[in-house]
Amino acid sequence: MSERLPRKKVTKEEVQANPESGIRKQSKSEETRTELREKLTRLETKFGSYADSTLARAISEVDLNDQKAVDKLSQRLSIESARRHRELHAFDVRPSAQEVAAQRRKEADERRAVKIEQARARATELDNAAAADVIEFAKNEAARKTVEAKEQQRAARRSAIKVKAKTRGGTTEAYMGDARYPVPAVIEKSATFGGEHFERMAEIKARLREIESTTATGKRGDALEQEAIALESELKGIEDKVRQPAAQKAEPAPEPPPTPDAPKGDKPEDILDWTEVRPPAPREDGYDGEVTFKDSKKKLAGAIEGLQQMTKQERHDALAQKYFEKIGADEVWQELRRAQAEEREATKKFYTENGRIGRWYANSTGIGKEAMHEAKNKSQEAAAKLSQLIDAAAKNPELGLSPRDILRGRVHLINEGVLASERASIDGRVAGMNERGRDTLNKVAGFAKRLNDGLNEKLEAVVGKKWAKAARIVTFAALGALPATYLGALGFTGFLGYAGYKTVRAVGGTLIGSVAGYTYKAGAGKRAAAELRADKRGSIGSAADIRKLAASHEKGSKEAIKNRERKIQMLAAIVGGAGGSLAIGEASMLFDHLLHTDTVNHSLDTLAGGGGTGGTGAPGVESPETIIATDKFAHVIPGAADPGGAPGAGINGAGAVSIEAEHGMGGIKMIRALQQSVGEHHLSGPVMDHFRAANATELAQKLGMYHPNAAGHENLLVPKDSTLAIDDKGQVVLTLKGGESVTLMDSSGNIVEHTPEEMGKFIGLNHHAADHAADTSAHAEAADHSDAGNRASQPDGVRPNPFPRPNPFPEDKPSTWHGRRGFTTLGDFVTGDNGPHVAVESHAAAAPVDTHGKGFTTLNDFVGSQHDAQTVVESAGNAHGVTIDHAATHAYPTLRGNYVFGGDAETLAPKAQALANAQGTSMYVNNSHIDATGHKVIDVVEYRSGVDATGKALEPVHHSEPYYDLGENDVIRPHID
Amino acid sequence: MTTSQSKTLLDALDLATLPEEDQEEILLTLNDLIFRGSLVRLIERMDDAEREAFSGLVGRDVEEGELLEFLKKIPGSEDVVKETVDELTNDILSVIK
Repeated sequence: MSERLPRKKVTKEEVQANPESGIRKQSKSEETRTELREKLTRLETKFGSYADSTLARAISEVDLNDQKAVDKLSQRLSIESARRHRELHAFDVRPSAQEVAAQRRKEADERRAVKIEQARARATELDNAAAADVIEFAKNEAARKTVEAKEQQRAARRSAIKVKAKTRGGTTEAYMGDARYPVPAVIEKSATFGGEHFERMAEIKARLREIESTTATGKRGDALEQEAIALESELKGIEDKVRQPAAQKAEPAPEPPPTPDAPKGDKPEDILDWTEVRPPAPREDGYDGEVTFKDSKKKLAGAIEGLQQMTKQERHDALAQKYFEKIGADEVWQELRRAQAEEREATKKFYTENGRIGRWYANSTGIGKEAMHEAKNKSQEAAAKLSQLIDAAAKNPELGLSPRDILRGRVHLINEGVLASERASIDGRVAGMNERGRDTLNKVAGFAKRLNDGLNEKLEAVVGKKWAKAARIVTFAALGALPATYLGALGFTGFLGYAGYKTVRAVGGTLIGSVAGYTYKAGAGKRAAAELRADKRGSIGSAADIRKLAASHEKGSKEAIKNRERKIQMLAAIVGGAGGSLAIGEASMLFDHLLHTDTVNHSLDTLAGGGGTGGTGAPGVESPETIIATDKFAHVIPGAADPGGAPGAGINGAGAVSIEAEHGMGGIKMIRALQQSVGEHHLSGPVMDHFRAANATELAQKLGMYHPNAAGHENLLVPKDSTLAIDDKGQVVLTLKGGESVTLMDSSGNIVEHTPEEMGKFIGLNHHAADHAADTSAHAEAADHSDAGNRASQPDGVRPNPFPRPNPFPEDKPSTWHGRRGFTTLGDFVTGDNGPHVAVESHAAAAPVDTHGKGFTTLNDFVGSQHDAQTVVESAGNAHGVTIDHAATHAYPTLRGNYVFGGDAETLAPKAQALANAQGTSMYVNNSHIDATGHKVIDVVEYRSGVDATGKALEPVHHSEPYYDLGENDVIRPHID
Repeated sequence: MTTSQSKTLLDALDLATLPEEDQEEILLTLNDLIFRGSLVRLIERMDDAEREAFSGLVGRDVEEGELLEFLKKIPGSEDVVKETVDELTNDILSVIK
């Protein structure tokens, strides 16, 4: 563009003044051209460089003598300038003049409206005397409070002065807090105490001076003498009292008041007694104990800072120290702490010095063993002494302990006394490990943390960070999963279940309330369940219920509903994911309490039952999808107490309970399972109360679900996958898998009568029921005969099957139930997870001729009596003309593993091993003994097939499980997964 | 932990009488002690080669089954939890009862 810059106009005078400059005066035409160029330059300056050079060229080339052409070019420049201007402002959004005017009018209107409103308010205020009074009162009240506060401050200062007076007397020192910090009662009391006494001292001294002056005038008599003696004595007493605190050793600075976000244990009520606050220690800078408000605030701020810097353990220690001082047990407390430190050191020494000489050897003869035990004993003795002192203090009214203080003492004893000793011992063991051991431990801790963090993250993603406490639930789950991972097979998890239970119980209601979009508070689980029921929102458990619940929230777009649904499912998935690795009890507890807080109150036995088996995964909790999609989690709950393949049962949000039949179970067993669920869950209602109270056998008979045969065995069978339920209407309903159902009891607890034919769809003896009475005698005779015959025919040492199966089969329809299964090989027959009745039935269907050729006349006799597996198998073998491996003759296939019966453990061992090898599966032998606690314990030995990595045959594994008493009939059901 | 063990322990502590927060705190501590005590005992039973192998296992995303199989090979590993709980129970009983 520079070449197009206009040349400066040269005047005639300039040319004349500088004749040598070469400047010459421009001609008129050149001036015109210059003007045109200036016009173009302005255009470019304003709108930027001009891309089209035609104008510049036109300016250079225009014939300046052609005025028309010059004018036209000038016009082009103007047009171009206007065009560029339009382009530049094409997108300007500027209000029009009308719009500006309208806006101004609007603003003016608004201002007027505000003024009108203010005027009205003022008018109302003026017209409303009461309102004015209230305002006035509020003002007065504020003023009064201000005056009061100032008065209090003055009073405090006055007290402080009195305290100071004592300080000058060399008796004690104290400080005062200002109004923003609570003044410790004892300080107030001290101040008052000191003040009163000084006042009294002043009075006494004044009186004594009076008496003395009287004496001086010779008027002092006996009465005055006596009074003087009494006053002097009183004065001395007061002086002694006042001096007494000075004898106390200076104590450390007092504990500060709690901060608002102080951690648990540092809340005001947890600081046992602030009246215990002691005067501050003298300062190096010459601080003489005179306390001002400013000093007090500084001290408190410093103390708060100090407290915040303490570890949790240090805070606990500090609180315990105060407590034990209060009850006069501080010396024992210190003794305990020293003993704990000694225990830690002695343990460390023992494990360090003995290394890996052999743990058992070390424990019996190791170096420093005595010292370690001695330290432990000392620690325990001190703790026991502390326990006695706490008990004594609780009974001593002079100490003025509140009930809370007394409980606090127990908490201190447990935490700082007993558990701290355990911690010291473990720390000592860790310290005594070699480096490799400690590294391993650290890695395991890291692994645990990763697991926890992962789960916490997942939970936070679902419910948000604000549910920090709820995240602990998952931490519990993770903790549960971790021992399940490491130690699950070792039976570790029962206790965790209990811990999880407590926490889940505390927060589950809030958590699920939030997740589901409800506003239930913690502990309102029962109400929540009741409201769910009342609102017919359905239960929370199944996929359909979850959808219903998510959709039932009052407001929300489809997306919001979907989101809630997703949250509920994810929550279940998270916990379920953990549950998959948890023992049954824990999984069920987590589910149960998350979904139905407080509607269920499992017993500790239930938890321990599940936990004791170790983290082998609960049936139906294999994957979250299963839980959600099929409502399978319902199986988990009774599984906790009855993990050996008992029927599944569930409880929904409305409190209904259901039992699902497996493998054609008997009616009485279903009733009992239902009763157990009702009892465990503390469900109430006419039917549930009735169920809880009734005898299971009688109830089953009344409901048409139990018809004992002559041998006392139940001879009814409910088809597999049928459900017996107390539904949410409070009725007892038996439902077939296909959906067909029959109501057995109405909601008032009345039995609903049904004909045998009607019941026949649901129970095994349908067609028999009508003729049952007639059949009974003949049946009994046959059964008795076959039982006796069978017992006689059993080989020596072989006991009758201790788990007799009911006879489920009608004689004339052998293939009705299981014939369709059709076992094709003997292997299927023996190892299939079906009872012998199923196997035999199958054979009967496949080869109905002479199935039980060993002397049994009817199939019913055969199955219904107490024949062991050998007889069954041999019978079937005979029918097929097959010789059976003798090792398999005592195989008794069960629902959850193969058990070998028919002899003592020693006799059965080789058979079980041979059978395990032959079948390629594990075989089990049960035995029992009574343990030291008087509990019956089932010893289960698992004989495994295969070899280990070194090629050595796998050794048998010993399991043990406690005996479970399920009530009316004891059921021993060891759990082997 | 068996039913009787946990029941004895919890009865001795008489937790039900304590405030709920304290119950949780104590249970957490117990839990931690049992867990740590069991792990320490477990690791004590391993020789250095086993400790190294164990570290390797937990250092990667190990399958649960693999881990369990490993632990089962450690002699006496079945008893570690019982030992820990027994000791804890005895110690508590010796002080409180």
